[in-house]
Amino acid sequence: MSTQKRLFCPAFINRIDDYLLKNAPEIWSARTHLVLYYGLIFMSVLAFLSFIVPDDPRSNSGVAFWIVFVSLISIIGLVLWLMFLLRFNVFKRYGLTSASNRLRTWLLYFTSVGILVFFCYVPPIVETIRANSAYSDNELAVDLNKMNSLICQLSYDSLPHDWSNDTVIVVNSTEGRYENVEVIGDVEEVTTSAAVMIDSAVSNYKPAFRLMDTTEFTSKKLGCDSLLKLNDSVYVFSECPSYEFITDPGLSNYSDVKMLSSRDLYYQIIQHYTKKEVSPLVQEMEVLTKKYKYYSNEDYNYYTETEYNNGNYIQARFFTDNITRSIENIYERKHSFAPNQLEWQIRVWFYITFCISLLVFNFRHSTKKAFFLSILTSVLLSILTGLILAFSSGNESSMFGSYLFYFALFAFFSFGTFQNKTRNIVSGISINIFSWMLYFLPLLLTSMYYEGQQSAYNELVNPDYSFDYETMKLHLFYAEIIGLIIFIIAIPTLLHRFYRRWYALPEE
Amino acid sequence: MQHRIEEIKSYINHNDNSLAVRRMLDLCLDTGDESLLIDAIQWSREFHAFQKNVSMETVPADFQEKAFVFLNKLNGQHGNARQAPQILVRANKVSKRYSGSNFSLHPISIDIKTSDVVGVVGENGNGKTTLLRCLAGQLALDEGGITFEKLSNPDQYDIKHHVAFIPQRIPRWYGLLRDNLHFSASLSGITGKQNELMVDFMLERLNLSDYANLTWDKISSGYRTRFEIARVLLQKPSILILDEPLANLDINAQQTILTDLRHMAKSVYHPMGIILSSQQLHEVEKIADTVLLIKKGQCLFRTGETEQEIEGVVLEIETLASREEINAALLSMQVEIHFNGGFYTLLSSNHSAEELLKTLLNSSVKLSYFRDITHSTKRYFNS
Repeated sequence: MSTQKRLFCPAFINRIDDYLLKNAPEIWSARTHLVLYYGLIFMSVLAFLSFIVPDDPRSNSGVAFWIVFVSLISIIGLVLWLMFLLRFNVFKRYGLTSASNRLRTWLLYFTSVGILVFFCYVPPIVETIRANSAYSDNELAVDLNKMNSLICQLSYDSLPHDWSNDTVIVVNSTEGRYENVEVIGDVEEVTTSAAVMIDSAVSNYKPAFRLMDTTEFTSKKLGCDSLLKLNDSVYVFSECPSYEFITDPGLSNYSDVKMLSSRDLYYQIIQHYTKKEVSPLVQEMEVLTKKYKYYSNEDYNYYTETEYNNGNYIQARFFTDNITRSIENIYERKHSFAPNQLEWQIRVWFYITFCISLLVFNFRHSTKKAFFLSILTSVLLSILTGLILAFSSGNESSMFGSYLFYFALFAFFSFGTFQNKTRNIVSGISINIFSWMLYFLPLLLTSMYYEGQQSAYNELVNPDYSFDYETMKLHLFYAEIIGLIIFIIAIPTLLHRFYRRWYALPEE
Repeated sequence: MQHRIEEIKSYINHNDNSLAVRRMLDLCLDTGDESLLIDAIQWSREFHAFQKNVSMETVPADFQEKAFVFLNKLNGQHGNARQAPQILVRANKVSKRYSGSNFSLHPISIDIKTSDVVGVVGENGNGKTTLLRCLAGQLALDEGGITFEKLSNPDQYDIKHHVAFIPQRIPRWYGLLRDNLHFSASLSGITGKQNELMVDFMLERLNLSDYANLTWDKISSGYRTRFEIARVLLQKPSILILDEPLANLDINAQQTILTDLRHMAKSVYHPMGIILSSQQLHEVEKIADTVLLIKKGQCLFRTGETEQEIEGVVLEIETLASREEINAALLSMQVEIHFNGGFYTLLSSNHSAEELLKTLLNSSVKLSYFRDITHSTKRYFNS
């Protein structure tokens, strides 16, 4: 067994290391087992430290500092891993290796880099766990409703009680153009221009109204406090004064408790206000204030006698901004890995891991010269393409087109390796860049498709096109998956053959 | 088998224990019996432990007894039969020109068989390394071709797995030397217990056990060469190409490595073809089956072929006598005399080497060194 001393390395890891060295050199040389072991130790220590460090969920999150600190450790870990990784290389030693070994090698690199990148996720995860264990969503929702109710009770005399009204004329927007705007119903039809229509409408509906297209109308109708229909085209939107002094950061998405809107508060407290004994209410409010007010959150206490206004008065009396900030902080901590957040969190992890592991894979199968020239070529091509597009007023389609052209060019030179008699540097660069571009090809084609549709819509070639952001998002997600599958299939088939052929060719 | 056992016994009887240990290890490897090999490795370790112990001038008596008991055990073994030599590589009119240089390697043909040791000699800058790199697949040929008889439809990667090349300047290793050896063995398919056994064998065989747990920085350049040979041998190549392997070795180590290489080439366990370049003409000639002399990119001389065409005798001598005294001594004989500042070279087409020497001695010319280089490539270095 190897006598090399490793810090904090138990016998079983040494045995695994020894076994892999003597039986599976490619797995051994990737050092993933050591990254996994030391990574788990480091993550455990990091998680423990994150747990014991005093951190109030009501405070502003300090996780960004943790992430910067842990990122530096991840970089150090990456460098150390590379130092060990680059010592041994089965491929460059012309050992017994197969196409499936190329894929296994990349997967091992991906796993190792993935572990190192994952370090940065440990503090946010711990923070989320701590916030979730300290406060439940229902608890927050109940307390938030209670505090708004108490403020309404305690400040009834200081609050506005009248609703504001907004009269609107609804116009048809299905044609998509103002030139063909028509007032819905038979009140009046305007078929000329929007300006004429406004003049006409102004003369008919006074004193206050505004034009609203059907899209906005439908949207506003869903969220309005009250709606009065005067006729088929004219509506009056009534808006309740705001009684949400402590605003909901989004608890309604996660809590079983219904969040009280200003309207609910109006109907429950303001509309039929009954005066209650103040001291128990004040006491109750104080308990809740104590629970949520955090000393270092800013209070925005602008209230002075000379500068009296209602908002500042409520703020100053009940620390609403401070409490709102606290609840926002708790909410953000609790839901930093909610599905909508998780999606991009995973993407950040995946793309960083993918790119680094791909670069390591290239470096391990290429010469130093070809690898660094590949990076240089990519940078220069990007600059050159950017300049050409800038001077020729190119759009996104031109950019996608140039990408496709480069992809075809590098694919052509990569396949040319099979005809080469010597290890040609151009082929080496092409294989590297081809492998970088391969994953992004389906994403590019999908983006091109949507770009084309959007352009056709803008130029009225395809006015029926309706841009569905969710479908595009879904299709881009499929493109990412397909890109990954293509890349994984290409490693043992194309890339293995390219590198095997190219690297073994005579150097001169 | 019997012959080899007797040879080892003879070495032990004459206290050539180091040689005996090495031959014993080779013999046990060739039997293919793991338990015997383990015993031989253990025996070798004991011997090296005695060697390290400066207070012991000779090995203990029981060491020899143990050796004989062990050899008697080997007596019953049949061992694997040595296979008839097979052609490994056929280089046909290989030539190479460098762009931007006047030098070119002129067409050279050579066949290398299993168990062959081919020496390539010549002055610096005459094409030895170019020829070796062409054979190793590192340089593209301008003309001619190389076929690897044991490989069917090989790609360049297969060829480079098949052919091991040790350059004069050995690339740096990282990590423990032992780990590197285990790694080399396992990447060639020697795994598990076999891997451990073969690494232990190689360490003992090349007397490297004491250095196995060191790193590259901690060993001398001579040991680096030895470790590189051990590493490459563990990869079980069919053809081993060494460029100036003796450059960093002391005189004893040179002799040891050369004879080891010869025995390894002729191993029953894994016979291979070896081609090496060197400036140590006499040492290489002693162990090589074929020696090529490369001069200005051309194969000037090849033992076994062109040497048959040689006429006359060439003698190399070193003496304190002056040129005039030598001329006077050899006046009656038709002898061409050259002096390169160190040695005199005597060329004669009518007289034998013995006659020339007798004449010189009879004329009271005191010789401090002489060598018959008639069949040696050395003769071409003087012309």
